This record gives sequence, structure tokens and C-alpha cells, in this order.
Amino acid sequence: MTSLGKILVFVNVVFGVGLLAWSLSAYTNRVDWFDRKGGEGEEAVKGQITQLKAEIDSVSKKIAGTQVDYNKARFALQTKEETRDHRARKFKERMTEARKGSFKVQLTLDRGPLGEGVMYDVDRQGGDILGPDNSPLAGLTTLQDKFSNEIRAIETLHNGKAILTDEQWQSMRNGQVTLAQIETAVPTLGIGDLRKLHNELSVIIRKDEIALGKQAEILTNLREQAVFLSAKEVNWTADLITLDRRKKQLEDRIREVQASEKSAMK
Amino acid sequence: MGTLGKLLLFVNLLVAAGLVYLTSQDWAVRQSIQANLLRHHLVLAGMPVEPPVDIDSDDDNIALGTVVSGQIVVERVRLKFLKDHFTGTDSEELAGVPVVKSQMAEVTGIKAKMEAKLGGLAPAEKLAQLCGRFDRSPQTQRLVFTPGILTLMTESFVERDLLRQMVDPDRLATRGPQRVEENATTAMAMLNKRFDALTKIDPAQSEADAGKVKQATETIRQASDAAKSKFAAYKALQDDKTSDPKTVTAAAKDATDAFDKLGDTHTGLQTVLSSVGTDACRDESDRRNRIGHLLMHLSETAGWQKRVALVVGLRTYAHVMADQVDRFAKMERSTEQQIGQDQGRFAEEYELLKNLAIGRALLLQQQVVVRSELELQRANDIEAVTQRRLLTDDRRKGLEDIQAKVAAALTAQATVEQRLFAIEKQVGETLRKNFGLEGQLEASENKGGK
Repeated sequence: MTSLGKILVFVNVVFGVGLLAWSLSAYTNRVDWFDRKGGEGEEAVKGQITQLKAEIDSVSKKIAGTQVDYNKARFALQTKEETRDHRARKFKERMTEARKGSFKVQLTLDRGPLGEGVMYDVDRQGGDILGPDNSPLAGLTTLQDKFSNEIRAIETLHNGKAILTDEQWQSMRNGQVTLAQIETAVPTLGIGDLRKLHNELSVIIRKDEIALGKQAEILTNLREQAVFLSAKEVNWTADLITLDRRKKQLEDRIREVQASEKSAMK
Repeated sequence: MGTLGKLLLFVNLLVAAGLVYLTSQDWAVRQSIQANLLRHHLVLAGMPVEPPVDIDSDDDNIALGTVVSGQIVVERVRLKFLKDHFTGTDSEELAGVPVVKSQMAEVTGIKAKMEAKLGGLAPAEKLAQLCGRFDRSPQTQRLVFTPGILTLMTESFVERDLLRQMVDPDRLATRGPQRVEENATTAMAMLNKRFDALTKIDPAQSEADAGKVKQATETIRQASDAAKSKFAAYKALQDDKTSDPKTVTAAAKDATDAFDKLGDTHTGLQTVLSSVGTDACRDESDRRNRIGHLLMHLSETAGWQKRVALVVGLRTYAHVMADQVDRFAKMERSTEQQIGQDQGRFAEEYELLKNLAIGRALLLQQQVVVRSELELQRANDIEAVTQRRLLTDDRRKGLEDIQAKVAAALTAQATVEQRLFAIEKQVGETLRKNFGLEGQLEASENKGGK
């Protein structure tokens, strides 16, 4: 064997021993991919793949269970939300009714999630709540509308449907408005204008009464004067008759005197 | 070389050949085992979040960089392996690609596809897809909510309630179609935010969130002050009976607008609260969970859920699902509390309205009495005016009568006076004649006496 052969054999031996050592090391520190039975007094070893499979099975089962829980929790939440929405809408309707309709007694559920008699029954309502006049208490908006209508009615009673203008009042004072026109206007007038009209009519009546008094006085005077004139006419007529009689007497006497003169001359 | 040397060399070569054979056999089995192991590992741990940057890859060899069982680093896998891995999953509906190379690649691809899909929808349909919709049940006549993808993935009651409010038919009806469009845009932004948050990891996220909440609270305070001030101004004008109705109407509109703004600021706070912690991930583990959470809620089909489970791994998938179950339970408890609070608010407002109504009813009663009295008074006034009018009529007639009598008397007096004047004239003439006759008589008698 040449020196080269010896070296190669030596290298070969070293390589072989190294390979053997590495192989032994790899074997003793091996990863158990698969299950293997243990030796005497040793437990069976589960391989990596078996462990992973077991974990996958375990997690899959857990997921299957969680999916059931997920769906249960999700639909339980949705059911609760629907209950809340339904109750909220019913409460909203009741608030609308409390504004535009009437107030009702709130009934409670016999069995509710918060205990007996705590939760309102949103599908049933009690009787009407009575107001101060012992009739069903009307909704707030309805009452406000009625209140506003009352205020408007009171304003109308005060002011009337048509307030007369200053020119119209002046025309009335001047007697340019007929009584028939006043009568037509009266139903549309408010208390204020009615009182003003009353005063104006009183003034007109007072003026008429003064004029009436004066006319009565004139008439009385005229009547007295007529009496006086009648008496005077009688007197004058009597005087005229007397004068006529005197005239006749004088004419007769003159004729007598003239006749005696004529007879004396003869 | 001797015969022994040649023999040993031959034996050595035989052993080497045997070793090569055994090694090749072992390699093939090892590849199969590793593939099996990798498949199991990927099922449990999922795909890597980001593709490894230091490992080359091509179309057929996908870089993975995954450590399997704590020992074996799998740098690349063949495309066929991944295709087989994802066989039977729903790749068409959302992802559009059969193979998932990394979780973020899947997220990016899905985001683009979602944007394209939702972008082509009308605002109302987009809003329904994202937030959900209310439909009336034909059986119970109640409104039934079908959640959208955002509503399903909500993590808190506040966020879920906000999303439900965004599709509440009553709210949408009062705000008009513009509100639908705004809400659809907001919902799309919320979804995009969830996608974008997956690209960032920021441990200081909580500080930024606190700042946003503080700012939103301050905005509410300012809006509240403004609304109170506007309402006080309106109330003062309303109480002042001399106010111009147009000014009162304008003040009422200002107050309503201010309260609307206040409502918007509350919605803003809700939005901030609902997005707390969603701007970025806290750490890598949080990122994995968020990816799983987001993907899981994009579709409910079994195929899609299988794909998500394989993308994020069964461990993360199970964890995320369990977390969401807990959140649903918490949200259910919050909803339960809200039911009680809703009733409390209703009872308080109802009682307040009732008391106000009783007060109004009393005032109304008084007003009715006042009106009745005034009606009576007006009737009396009308009667008085009528009496006055009749009296006026009577006086006018009386005046006219007496005026007629005066006129008649004056006429009669004139006749009498004329007649009297004639008599006077006659008397005068007769008297004058008598004087003449007496003179004549006297003259005649004097003449006869001589």
C-alpha cells in the first residue's frame, strides 16, 4: 500500500467514523414524525404529525362549538335588539299619542327581564288618565292647539273679525253711515268696537234728543202763536164788523143829514 | 495496490452506492413528511402575515419562510402545493385568486375587490350591504334587522348602535336621500379604515385615541353652549308678545339648526368612540387577530369561512370567533341595559308631558271660562248696541215727526197770518173810511146847524 493509499484509507476511516457519529447523533435527537412504541417501561411516543392532527381535531371541534355559540349569541343579540327597537317604536308612538291624542295608564308585564311589574307592557295600554275636568286628559299638542284657539277666539271677541278704521268711525259720526249698515256690521265687531259704537250711538241719540227738544219747543211756540193769532183774528174780525156797522151808521146819518138839508133848502 | 486493497475499495464503493440509494429514498420520504407536516402546520397557524422579503420567489415557487415544528424552516413551496391546500375554498366570491400567498396579500386583494364591488352600487344598496337593512316582518309586522358586514364585525355596543342608526328608516326618512349618501360614504370609510389599520402597527395608538375623544367632547360642549344660547334667544322672543312673528320664526329655525348641529357632534363622538383602537394594530398578534376578524365577517358562506380559516389558521380563527362570541354577549347585555334606560327615559318624558298637559288643561279651563264670559259680555254689548240703535231709530223718527209738525204749523201760521193781515188791512180801510164819513157827517151837521 502506497502512502497515498494509506492516507486515503485513513481519510475514509475518519469520514466513515464522522458519518457514523453524525448518524447516531441525528438518530438519537430525531424528531418523532410518527408514533412509535416505547421500550420497556417507556410510554408510547406520539409523532409530530399525530400531535398536529390531534390539535387540528381539537381546534376544529372547538370551532364547531364556537360557531354554534357564535350563531346563538348573534341571534340572541338580534332578538334583543328587535325587542328594543319594538319597544322604542311603541314608546315613540305613545309619546306621539301623548302629544296629539290622550294619556293612558302604563301597564307592566307580569314577568319581565328586570323582574315582576317593572317593565312596561308595550303591546297593551291601560285606561285614560283623567284631566282636571275628570275627562280624559288630552295630548299636549292638542291642548296647546285648543289653548291657542281659545286665545284667538278671545282676541276675536275683543277685536272682532273686522276692526273699523278711523275713516269709518268719522263717517258714522258724520251720519254718513246708515243704521242698516251699522246693523250689518254689528255681528263682525269685537267688544272694543261694540262699546265704541255704543258710545257713538249714544252721542248721536243725545244730539237727536237735543234737536227733538228744540223742535218741540218751536212747535209749542208755534201752537201758542197760532192760538194768539186766532184770538187776534177773532178780535180783528169783531172790530171789522163793528167798524162796518159804524160805517153803515155814519152813511145812514149822512144820508139823513143830507136829506134834512135838502128838505130845509126846499 | 494489493488484492486486499482492491477488495476493500470495491466494498467501500458498494457501501457508498448503498448509502446514496438509502439517502435518496430517505430524501423522498422526508419531502413527503415535510409536505404533510407543512400542510398540518399551515392549517393550524395559517399563512404568513407578510411574504418574507429575504427569500426569492417566482411564479412556481412561492416564498413562505415558515418555521415548522420549531425546527424546520420552509422557505418556499410550490404553487401546486398551495393550490391543493386551498382546494374546496371559496376563492371566487371575494378573493378572485385561487392561491393565497400571504395574509396581507389576501387582505389587499379583497380590499380592491370590495371597493370595486361596493363602488358600483347605489348609495342605498351600498349602505344596506355595509350596515344592514330593516324590513317589516309579514308575520309580526315588526321591523327585522338584517346586519351588514360592518355591523357583524362591530366590537362594541356603541359602534353597532351607531351603524344600526345609520340605516334606521325613521332617521333616514326625516333627513332625506342626501343622508343615505352621506351614511354610505361614512360606512365605506369605516370599512376602509379597518383594512388600512391592518397595514400599521402602533403601540402608542391609545394616546392618539384619547386626544380624539377629548377633541370630540370639546366640540360637543361648544355645540351645546351654542344650542342653549339660541334656544334662550328664541324663548325670550316667543315670550315677548310684541315680537315680530318673522323674527320668532327665524329664531326658532336658528335654534333647530343649532340642535341639529349638536346631534351631529354627538354622532361624531359616537364615531370616534366606535373607532377607538381601530387606526392601527397594537402588535403582530393583534394584527393576526384583526385580519381574521375582518376576513371572517366579509361573507357567511361555508366556502369563504373555510378559506379564512386556512388563511389565518385554525388557532387564530377559533380565537377570533370566541372573542366575537364574547363581544356579542357583552353587546346583548348592553342592549338589555338600554331597554331599561329607554323605558326610564320614556317614563320621565311621559310624566313630564303629563304634568305639562295637566297644567295646560287647567289654563285651558280658565281660558274657556274667560271666553264664555267674554262671549256673554259681547252678547250683552250687542244687545246694548241694538237697543241704542233702536233708540237712535226711534229718536230719528220722533225728530222727523216733530220736524214735520213744526213745518205744518209754520205753514198754517203763515196762512193765518196772511188772513189776519187781510182782515187788518180791511179794518184799516174801514176805519179810514169811517174817519172820512165822520168828518163828512160833522161837516154836514155843522152846515145844517148854521
